[in-house]
Amino acid sequence: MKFKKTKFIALCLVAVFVFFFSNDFGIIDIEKTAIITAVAIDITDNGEYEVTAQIAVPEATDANTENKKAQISGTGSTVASAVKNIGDISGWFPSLSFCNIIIVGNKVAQDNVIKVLDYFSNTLRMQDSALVILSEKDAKSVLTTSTPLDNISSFALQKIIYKNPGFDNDITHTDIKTFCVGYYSYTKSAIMPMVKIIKETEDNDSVNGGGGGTNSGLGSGSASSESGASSGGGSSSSGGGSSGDSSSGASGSGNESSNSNKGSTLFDARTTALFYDGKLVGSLLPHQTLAYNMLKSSFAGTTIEVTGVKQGLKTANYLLTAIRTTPKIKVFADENSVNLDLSVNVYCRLADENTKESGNKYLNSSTLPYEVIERAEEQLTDAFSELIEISKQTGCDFLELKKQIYRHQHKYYAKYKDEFFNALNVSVNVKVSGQK
Amino acid sequence: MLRTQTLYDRQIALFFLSVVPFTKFFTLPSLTAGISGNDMWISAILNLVLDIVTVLIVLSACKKSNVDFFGLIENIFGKVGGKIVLILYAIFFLLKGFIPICEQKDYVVLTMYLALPKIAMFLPFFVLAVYLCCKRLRVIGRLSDVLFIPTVIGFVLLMALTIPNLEMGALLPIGLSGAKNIFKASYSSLNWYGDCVYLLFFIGRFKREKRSNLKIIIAYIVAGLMVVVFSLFFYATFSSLAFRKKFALTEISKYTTVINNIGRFDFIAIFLILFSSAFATIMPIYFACMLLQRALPLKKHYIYPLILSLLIMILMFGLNEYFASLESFFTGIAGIIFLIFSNLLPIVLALSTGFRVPNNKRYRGDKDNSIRKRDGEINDNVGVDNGENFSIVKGGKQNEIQKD
Repeated sequence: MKFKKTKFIALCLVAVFVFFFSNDFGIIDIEKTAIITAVAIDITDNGEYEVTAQIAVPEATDANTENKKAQISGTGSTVASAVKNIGDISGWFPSLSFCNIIIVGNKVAQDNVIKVLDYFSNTLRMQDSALVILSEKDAKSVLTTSTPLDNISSFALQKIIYKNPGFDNDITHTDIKTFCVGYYSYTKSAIMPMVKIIKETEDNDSVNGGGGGTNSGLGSGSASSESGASSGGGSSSSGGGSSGDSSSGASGSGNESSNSNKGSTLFDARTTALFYDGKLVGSLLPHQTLAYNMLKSSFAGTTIEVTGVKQGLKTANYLLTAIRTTPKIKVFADENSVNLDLSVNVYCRLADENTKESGNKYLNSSTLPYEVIERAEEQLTDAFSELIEISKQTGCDFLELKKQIYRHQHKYYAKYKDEFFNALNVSVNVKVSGQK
Repeated sequence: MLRTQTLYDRQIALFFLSVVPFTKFFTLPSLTAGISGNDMWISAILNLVLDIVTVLIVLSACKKSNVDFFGLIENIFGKVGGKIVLILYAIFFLLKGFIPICEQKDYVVLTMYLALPKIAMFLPFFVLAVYLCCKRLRVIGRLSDVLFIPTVIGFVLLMALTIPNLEMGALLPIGLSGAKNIFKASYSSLNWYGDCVYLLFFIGRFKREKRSNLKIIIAYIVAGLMVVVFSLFFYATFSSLAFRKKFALTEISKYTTVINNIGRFDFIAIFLILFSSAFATIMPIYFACMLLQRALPLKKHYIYPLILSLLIMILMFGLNEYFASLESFFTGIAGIIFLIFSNLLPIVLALSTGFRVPNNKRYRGDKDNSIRKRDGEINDNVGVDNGENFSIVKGGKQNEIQKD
């Protein structure tokens, strides 16, 4: 009898644990659930928030391999009420658990963008590890655009932003948490990638994205997709040179057999939007974004285009692959000024050149010509100087220079926090090397 | 081999390892981050130093204890006075347990039942509480042996997933928030700390071996370091957002690339920790039941577990709308209560008496004073004779506890 009692109690205990540690009570009907994969936020003319949710529609069939999608918009006086309205008008429970991208419309970014991102940062309904992207125009158009990469445009965007190792590191990415951490920090500075939709001509409907070449050349002119990219940053690209037709940071959209979109569209996210105190204050052009990534993240495998290399009377262009980069940013303050010592060592390999006589220079063991090294150093130095200049002009401390003073020389922080960039003495030292 | 009602020093050490850290992983990190910012880990260290000092003093002073906590209280305060003290301690444990239970309820309901967050989802917790509170102390000892494994696995996995996204520089400059805020955060955290008070219930009830004290102290220090490491990692992950991240346990590990690619498999670690923390949260109710049973004995040993669990449940439901005010009370003025009962009183008792009562003054109790009248249950006084034989006084009769 006692044994039965023990067994009964043990069974009860197991049942308790099953209830306690499982989510069985939380089961909801999949047919009534909207699995939101991305959210676009705009402001309507009457000042309301318009939230457009891209919804993946699960189907119990393996006949169709393509993802089905739907876009539903809801409006409200706050972002949360707009999300709620999506559920109200669709009858679907808006599940944000799988939402990996939030696209912010340009109009939203003119005001304090934290007004919309705070909800996503605080709510437990959504992971705040979701990417945040700024749309060059309205956010909704990014979601409604079709691409051949994936029927669901947000998935295509993820492919661009979350690149596999080996791709060029020419795009910045920010999640909700990182953006909010920057905003709420003493620097009030944050960044996010800016996505542009580029419509190509109808007769050129082939897919150009991916391996079509690279236009990540530092100091090179802006790509064709760049018109009106830089806002407020006051930056200017240095050096001249060629520009590629497409980029590694662009997703092509062209030969869509199943879609009615005749013209091709491209997503380009190589521009980086800069925010200070929650407002859009400027942007980094693609070559500046590349320079920024060189300082802030893993850069190995990324290609650097070196243009206008003078070799005697001729000029040539080179493509270098960065094998190793060692950036060092040292900021130290004294009673009179703040000194920034920025040094980068780049070890490169020759990837390509447009000279007639390339010979055996494609070999890994080939040394870099002196002119190429000199030109590469010049371009990189210019790019880093531009970054600092943009930082000065916008007030956005995206290089986290103030942070170093705040953390390591806090006694000077109060003195320089308001006129930090005015007191900044900059020293940029770039060293490019190859096989010796 | 000891009689079954006694504990081993290993079990006490594992008890602290399994109980001390996990109630502090829910809302406490955001609370302290809101007060002392990047110095929240210093506040945690201060609390732990206080607890470790208490453990050290109690263990050192009680090397030659010949009486357990109940016996000592009764000997000092007499029969009626002793009962009053025990009831006061029981109330203290209920207070100590209330906020951690509420925050665990919030955690389970809000993070796991997003679609339908209802308090009723948390009811099974109280079934478990009643069940566990009916068990004897030796069951807690065995439970500690079991809980230790998920505890370690869960904690190590969670911290390992957190490491790639740490920005330890966020902890600089050290001491920026100032001594006042650091101490204020420590004071506000007293509700969650003070687990050293559990040691009172183990004095005189475990087999002392050569390095028993050392084992227990090291276990407490390791458990404390787990809390400090968690605080460090928490702030290094969220920095300026830390004060807004109410449920640190769920948030801390999800930014790793592997989580983005594979999915939230960190919930394995979270569930393991929840498993331990469910028991850790019940401990105050358990000891409150033990105290009430001792002060006001009842024949049916399940009555107090039932009453106290129901009481907490009703209070939790009833005061749900006043939680913000309650939290402010518990992190404010109630801190003095936690400080007195968790740290000051145990230290005073240990230093003044050493848990040793002269044999001629030992209060023996009577038949009515026996606690649970079940075989094998510890009663009035548990003494140690030369470290070899334990003696139990039960209703005036002395039984020998034999040791192999």
